[in-house]
Amino acid sequence: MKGRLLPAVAAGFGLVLSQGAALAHHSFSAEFDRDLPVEVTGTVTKVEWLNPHARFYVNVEDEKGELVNWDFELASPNSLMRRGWTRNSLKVGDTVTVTGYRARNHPAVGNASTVVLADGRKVFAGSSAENEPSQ
Amino acid sequence: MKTCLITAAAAAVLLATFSAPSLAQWPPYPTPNVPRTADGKPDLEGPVPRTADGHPDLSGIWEIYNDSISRSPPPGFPADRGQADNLPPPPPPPPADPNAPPAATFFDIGANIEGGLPFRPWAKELVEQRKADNQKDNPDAHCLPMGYMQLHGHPQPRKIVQTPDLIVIMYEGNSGLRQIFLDGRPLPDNDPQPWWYGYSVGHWDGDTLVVESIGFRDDGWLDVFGSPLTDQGKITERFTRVDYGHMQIDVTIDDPKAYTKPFTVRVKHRVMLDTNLIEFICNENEKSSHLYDP
Repeated sequence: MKGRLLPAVAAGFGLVLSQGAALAHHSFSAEFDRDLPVEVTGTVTKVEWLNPHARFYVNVEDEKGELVNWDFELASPNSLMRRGWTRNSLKVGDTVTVTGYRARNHPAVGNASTVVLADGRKVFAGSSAENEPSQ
Repeated sequence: MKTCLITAAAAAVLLATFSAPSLAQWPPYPTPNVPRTADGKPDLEGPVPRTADGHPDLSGIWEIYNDSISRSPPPGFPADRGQADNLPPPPPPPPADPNAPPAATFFDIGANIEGGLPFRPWAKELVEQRKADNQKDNPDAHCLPMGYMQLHGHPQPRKIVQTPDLIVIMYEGNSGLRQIFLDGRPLPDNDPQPWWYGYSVGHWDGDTLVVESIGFRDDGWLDVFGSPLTDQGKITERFTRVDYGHMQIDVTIDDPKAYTKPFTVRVKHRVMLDTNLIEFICNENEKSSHLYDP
């Protein structure tokens, strides 16, 4: 079911969105580590729809039951807008699931790769990890 | 199957709703005078537009379209994260031209040069150090201007405004801005103050715009990986609009301080219609640089 649905959805998006790739204003590996994938679910506490990266903050319950406020970096607003995002795509209070990569030395900072929004849509978050070649 | 189709249709509606407001952020305005095919679609292989003085008109909004930025997930990238609902599959790359200069990539302008760039030893050592540091000192990573080749290869568009005596290129990426004088003035020879973007003069060689630039800062980064550009550098760009929808730019870097010989690479752009640049003010909310770790 999911396998059949996604291509149809992707095709629909292909009609209206630019093919433009997403890049960070900095090298992905300057801040993040591909070997530290993360997946968290929590409640959005703040959204910064600003350059050079949109950011959003998510309260996530850790294994001890304590809330940790994650800071997730997205692509720039212009890049996200060309992919169908708006400044209202994420709202404070939304429950979201984020996959991405953790910062090298900052345990609650991440680069978002995909976000499952409050209504269930999974959207590409403009991670620079997908575009940066290995060196 | 029926359920699947209905669900897909519902999802498509949801996604259309998701995307529609983005198109209405600022009203789209149609590009005038676009050549059309018989069925009314833009004829991107149509004739090159010309200015009143007969030269090709390079004006318009352009985006890269060669394979200079890989869209394939890098090695080790989890396959289940490589595709999301709003990420269409990449278009096929254009056919390779065996006689064309090697294609520059946004990350590494020498990526397709056999044997790599002809670095002098100090320059090679510097690039290796910049790689080891994960390019944390790239000026763009600190909201300072991008290098020439980063501007040429950036996936965000650029707008060319052409007048008989001056061409202005506005780059959406980090709000880059270049001015190219076509009024016949020579390049300055009075040891001018170095600039991030140097000083550019242009002339027409047939239907190709030739732009020569000097006067760069001594600490330039040509690409993301940090190939250097020094104050001895001269850059020559040959802009050719090959048809309505496509432009190629052959860029020759002649910087004897950093490289043992000049080299030439190609960048390909295609026109973007019915759109405009989006504001990008890098220092609006820069919160990444304090997290950089080599």
